[in-house]
Amino acid sequence: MSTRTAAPLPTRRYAGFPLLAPLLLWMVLLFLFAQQAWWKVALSGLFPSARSPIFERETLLNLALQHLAITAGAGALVILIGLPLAVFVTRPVGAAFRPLAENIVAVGQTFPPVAVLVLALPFFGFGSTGAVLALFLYGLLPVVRNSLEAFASLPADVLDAARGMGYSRWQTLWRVELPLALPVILAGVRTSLVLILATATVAPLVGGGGLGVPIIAGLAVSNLAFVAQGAIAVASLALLLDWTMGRLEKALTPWRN
Amino acid sequence: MIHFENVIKRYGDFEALKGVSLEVAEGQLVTLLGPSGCGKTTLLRMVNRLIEPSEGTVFVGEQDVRKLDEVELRRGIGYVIQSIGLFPHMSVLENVMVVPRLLGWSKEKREARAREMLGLVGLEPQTFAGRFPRELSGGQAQRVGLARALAADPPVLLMDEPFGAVDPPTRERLQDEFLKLQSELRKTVLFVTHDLEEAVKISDRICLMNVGQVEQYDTPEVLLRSPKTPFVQDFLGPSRTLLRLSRIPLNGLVEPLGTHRPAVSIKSSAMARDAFSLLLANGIRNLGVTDEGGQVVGLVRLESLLAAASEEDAPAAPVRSESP
Repeated sequence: MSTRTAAPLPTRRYAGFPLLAPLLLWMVLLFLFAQQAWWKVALSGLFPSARSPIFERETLLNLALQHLAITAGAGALVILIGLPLAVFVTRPVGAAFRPLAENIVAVGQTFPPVAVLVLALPFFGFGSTGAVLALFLYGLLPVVRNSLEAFASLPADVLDAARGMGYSRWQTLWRVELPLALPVILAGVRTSLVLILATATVAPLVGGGGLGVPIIAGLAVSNLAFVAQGAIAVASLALLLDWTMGRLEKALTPWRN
Repeated sequence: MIHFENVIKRYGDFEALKGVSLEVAEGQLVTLLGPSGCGKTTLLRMVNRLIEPSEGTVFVGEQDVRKLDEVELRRGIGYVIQSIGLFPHMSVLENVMVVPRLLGWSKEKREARAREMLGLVGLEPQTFAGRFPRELSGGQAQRVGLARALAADPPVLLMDEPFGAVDPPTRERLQDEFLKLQSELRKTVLFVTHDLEEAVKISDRICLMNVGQVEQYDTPEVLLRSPKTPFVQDFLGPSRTLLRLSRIPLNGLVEPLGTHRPAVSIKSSAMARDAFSLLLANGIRNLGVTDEGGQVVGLVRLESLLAAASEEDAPAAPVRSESP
């Protein structure tokens, strides 16, 4: 599908590197996180009365990387479990499980992640594992719900044509249903990831790391500079992640507008 | 080539097909014609097993389709539907290559074939190969749909109202081009339509259906000349004689020019109906007939058109009717 032999096709579908700009921005952002001294200056300007304007126990860059690792872990679980789940319950064999899956997933999101964290504590102990699990449950809903919606709203004529052309069920899923459902699925993934990234600030409650560390420390010692440091960092990561996912969506579905 | 044997389809208490037997000879274009709900699409979809009969048997070639693997069967049958159903995430070329790819053709072979098919249906491969379906007009999309159905060179083609969704001029052009293509390819075609004119224009034989039964199965000429049941008569309507004229080529009615110089003329490749219409429009009784070069070479008279229209025993292909 990628290389062409006869006359060259218009190359716009593979044109350029649509993810180059996001990549560069990520590097810039992480570079900024690494400039501990700049943050110190900025924060002491914003909070002149703070005893120490910047969280010193761990560098901002490390906190951000921990935060991203937790997000990536939970996000990967969401995709690896949520998407196959949605595929399964939209097949004839799994159709009976659909209401059950929908309910479990909905409960997963209504349950406060903080409560899940504490409840998971006896099983996973202190550390990031419990946090990843709680965030996974919390972020499952948008991916599953969007995927279900995406599979349900595939154009009937296209599916009929696929069957009539002689695609097997499995081939229909891989070559027709998934590619066509991708935009809506990706929108769900985008929502999930941003949600997880923002909520991952609760991880330090059970000993996980990340940008929640300065926020919670700041709350404990009433140092608003710490809180601001963590919050600004989380917000900028969330914005960039959201934008990156938007670009990815466009790059993966060139057949849309 | 396609053979239905006493096919019945029930949906609960409702009988969509009430025992249909039908034989479609190899290389023929047969239309399933009838009002909506008559079961024509159901019948068509039984050929590639998108619908299974409740009773009865469908044969393709000599094979009972139920004994074949359904996926293999479908890959060997061309399928065109009204809504076209192009895959929106694939380029035009990829759409046309779908069945060859499923059949495991090499990349070079399937791509060459797809380009050839695009050319065949009148789409310049250079221009269209890389486009996505949303960048096509309705007529272009339907051409791609036809190219896709023909790509693996299947002997049998199923077409479910393929020209139903395009505007009338495009529709007529697509019909003309399809007829020309069919005269070269000689596929066995089963074609569903509810449009009488379309059926008359393109069919070798018409199978007129009503409420799950075959009312009459004949050549268009015979069907229009001698409707067998009140339903058929009613369905064909009062203008069936005009439709008959649309099946009669003009060149059989041309007479020598003599000294008369008709003011209006028509191409000799036209149909009797076009000539009749032109006579009516101009209020005249004679029409000049021109050859390919535009030279007036003969003349057609109103009387011979009237005679042709009323001829009861016009020479027609031998007809075997399968229905009451």
